[in-house]
Amino acid sequence: MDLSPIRLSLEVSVAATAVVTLLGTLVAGWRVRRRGVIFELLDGVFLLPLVLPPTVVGFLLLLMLGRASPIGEFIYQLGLRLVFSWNAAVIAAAVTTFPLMYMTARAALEQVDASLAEAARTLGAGEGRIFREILLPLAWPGLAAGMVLTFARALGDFGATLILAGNIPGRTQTLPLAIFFAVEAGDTQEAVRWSLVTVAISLAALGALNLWTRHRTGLAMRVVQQD
Amino acid sequence: MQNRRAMLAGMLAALIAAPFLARAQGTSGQITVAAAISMKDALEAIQAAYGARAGAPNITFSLGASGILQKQIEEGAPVDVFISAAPAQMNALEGKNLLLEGTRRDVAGNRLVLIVPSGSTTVKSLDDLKKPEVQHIAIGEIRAVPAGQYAAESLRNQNLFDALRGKFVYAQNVRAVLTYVAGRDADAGFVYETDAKSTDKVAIAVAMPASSYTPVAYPAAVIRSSQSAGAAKAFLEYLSSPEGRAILEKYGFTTPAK
Repeated sequence: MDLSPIRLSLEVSVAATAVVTLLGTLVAGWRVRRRGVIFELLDGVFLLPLVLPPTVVGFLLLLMLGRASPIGEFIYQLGLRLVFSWNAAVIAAAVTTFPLMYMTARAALEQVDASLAEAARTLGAGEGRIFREILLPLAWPGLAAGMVLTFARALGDFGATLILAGNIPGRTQTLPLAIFFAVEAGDTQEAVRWSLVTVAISLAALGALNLWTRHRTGLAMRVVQQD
Repeated sequence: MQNRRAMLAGMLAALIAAPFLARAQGTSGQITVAAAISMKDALEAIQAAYGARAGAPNITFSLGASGILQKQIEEGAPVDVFISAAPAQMNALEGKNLLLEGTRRDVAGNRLVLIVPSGSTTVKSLDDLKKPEVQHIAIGEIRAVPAGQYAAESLRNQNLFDALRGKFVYAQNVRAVLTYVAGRDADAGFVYETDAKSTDKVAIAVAMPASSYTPVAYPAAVIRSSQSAGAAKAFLEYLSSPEGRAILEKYGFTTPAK
């Protein structure tokens, strides 16, 4: 039995979670406490992948990054093959999960008492240091929740991955794709087997992630208390 | 007081019953045709031509992948006629005794072709697919998509399957193959001639040799539970009539082998 869907699902979800955690937190950190219509509109754009059906997200990504578009043709001329690649699977999962991380991170960062950052600033701390040493540790439980959501959703992505990364066994065929095509082919046994594997991975990974983030939460709290 | 209560009860009963009555009346001059989505354009033309005839029933289409339509019919979807893109789905319904005896027939055929993005000159023969510049070949998923089954059968018979399989991107339906090739993200792909003719963004590079794959057949039949079996049978007759055939051929379908 070819086990590549398991490996690919894990690789893609972990990579997408890493990318989205970084990007989502940075964008949320930049956006936090900024007021104005433009920022509200931007929020709408950031949320689109959550509102649109995943297949539509995948189709729009294909229109944007496929060779029929100027961007896609430029990428192609650079010698990069994006569509139908492992990277495409990560991009698809990252785009569909970004809103989850972004919204959770923004809410978490906004809840941090502004006077703490203010105090640090009067003591001469730079913005980068304030973000790293005050905002991040205090917002950590929220950020951790965002990471859990991101991983869970990335593991389950089907539509966007199918359209942008294609269905190539051993290269882009993740568990949800393997399940879909087993069902379509009428192979219920295989579909059930992959589904059980997916459930097992989800429970194990989410359990581990919860343990780790709780551990980190303890650490973060201690750091803040010591300071 | 008594009267008013009776009147209210009567009105309530009428309100509840109205949709059911309307539906019962509607079934006489109305048939629902569940058909493979690859026949969409041709069936709309059929509908326009057939609907113009006096006394023709009102035709409603439910278009989708043949496998999904098959499962819906098995679950009791109110369908009068089923047109499948491959015999397998029709065989499944026949095996479950869901077809009206004697109504099954092939209404159309199709040809399998290799398409490339229009303007592309890399691929002129099947052997060209082995070139290193050809990186991705889109093909319907072999177990689930009939067009993929026919393509795999043809390539195996020409001893090309194993040499090419590393380049395959397995699509969920034949229209996805068309999208990938039209957008130049796949260098080539296998679709039906009718799909290839639906857009000018792709060109037919090779017509697959007819002897290399099972003839593509579109079987149709009246569903046993149909409430308008007469109208459904008449519609099938029309599809096989010279007039119906001519419309199907205009959209690239061939006359069925049988």
